[in-house]
Amino acid sequence: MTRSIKLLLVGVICMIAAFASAQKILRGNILSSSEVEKKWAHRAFDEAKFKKANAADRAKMAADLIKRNPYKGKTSADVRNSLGSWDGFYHFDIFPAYLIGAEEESWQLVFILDRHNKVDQIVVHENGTPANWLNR
Amino acid sequence: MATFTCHNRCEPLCEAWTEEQPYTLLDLYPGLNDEEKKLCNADKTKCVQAYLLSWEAEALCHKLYKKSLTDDESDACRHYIWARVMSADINSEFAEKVLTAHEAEPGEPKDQRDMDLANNRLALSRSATDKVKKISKSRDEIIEEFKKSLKDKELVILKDKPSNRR
Repeated sequence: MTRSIKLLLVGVICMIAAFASAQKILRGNILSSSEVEKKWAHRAFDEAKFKKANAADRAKMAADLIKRNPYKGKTSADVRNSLGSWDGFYHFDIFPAYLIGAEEESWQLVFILDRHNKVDQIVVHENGTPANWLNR
Repeated sequence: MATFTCHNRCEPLCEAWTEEQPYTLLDLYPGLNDEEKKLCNADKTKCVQAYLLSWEAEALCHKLYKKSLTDDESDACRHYIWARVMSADINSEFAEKVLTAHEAEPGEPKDQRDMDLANNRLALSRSATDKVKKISKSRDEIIEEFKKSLKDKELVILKDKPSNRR
C-alpha cells in the first residue's frame, strides 16, 4: 500500500515536472508576479500613461497590470487600440508584446491569447527565449 | 444511445464534431488567425512544419539580433528567413499561402503589413530563382544572403534600431 502511494506520488511529481518543462519550452523564461514586484517599483497601471511611457516606465506598471489584467477577453486589436502598437515579439505577430525595463534587458509584457485569440493572461517574458531550444 | 450516461446531451456533444473539428489540434495552439486556420485545416502536416520553421527562423535571426522586435531589422529577418526556409523545406507555393494568410491579422496597421509583405516577396522571388537554377542553399548561406540584402537596402525596415544588432 505504502509502495503504491510512493509510486503514485513519484508519478504525480513526474507529470508536474513534464508539464512545467513543456510550458518552459513553449513560453521561454517567465517571471512570477512576485519576481516582477521585486524587480521593478510598483506603480498603478494607467492605460493613457502606459501608451506614452518608455520601456523603463512601463516596467513600473507591470505588476499591477498582470494582477488586474483589465484586457482579459479582449482581442489583440483591442489591445493595440488601447496601448498602441507593440515593439516586442512573442511567437507570432498577433501576440501583443511590449518591451519593459532597461535597454540592456530583454523583458517584455506578453498578452497570452487563448484558443479564440482573446487575451487570457499577461506575463513578463524574456524576449527571444522560446525558440532558442531548437538550436541547442 | 440511451445506454450512455450523457444521452440527454447527445445533440451538443455531437455538434462539436462538425466542420470546426478538423483543425481542433491546431486550434489549441493560439496565435493563428482565421485565414491561417483555414489553410491549416486543408493541410495540417505542412502547416505544423511551416510554423516550426517560423520558430527556427526566429532562432536564426537571434544570431544577428539581441532581441526579436517589431518593425525593425530583426522583424525583416524573421520574415525573410521564414519565407526562404519554408520555400526550401516545403515548397514556394505553400510558403506563399502561409505568408499571405499570416498577414490577415485584423487590426494590423497597413505600414506594418506592407513591410512584412514586401520582405516576404523578396525572399519568395529569390526562392523562385533558386528553383529555376536548381540551387539549394544552406541556412548559413540564407543568413549571408539576408545580410547582403540589408546592406543593399533591398528590405523594407520601418524602424532603425542599430543598438539591437549583435
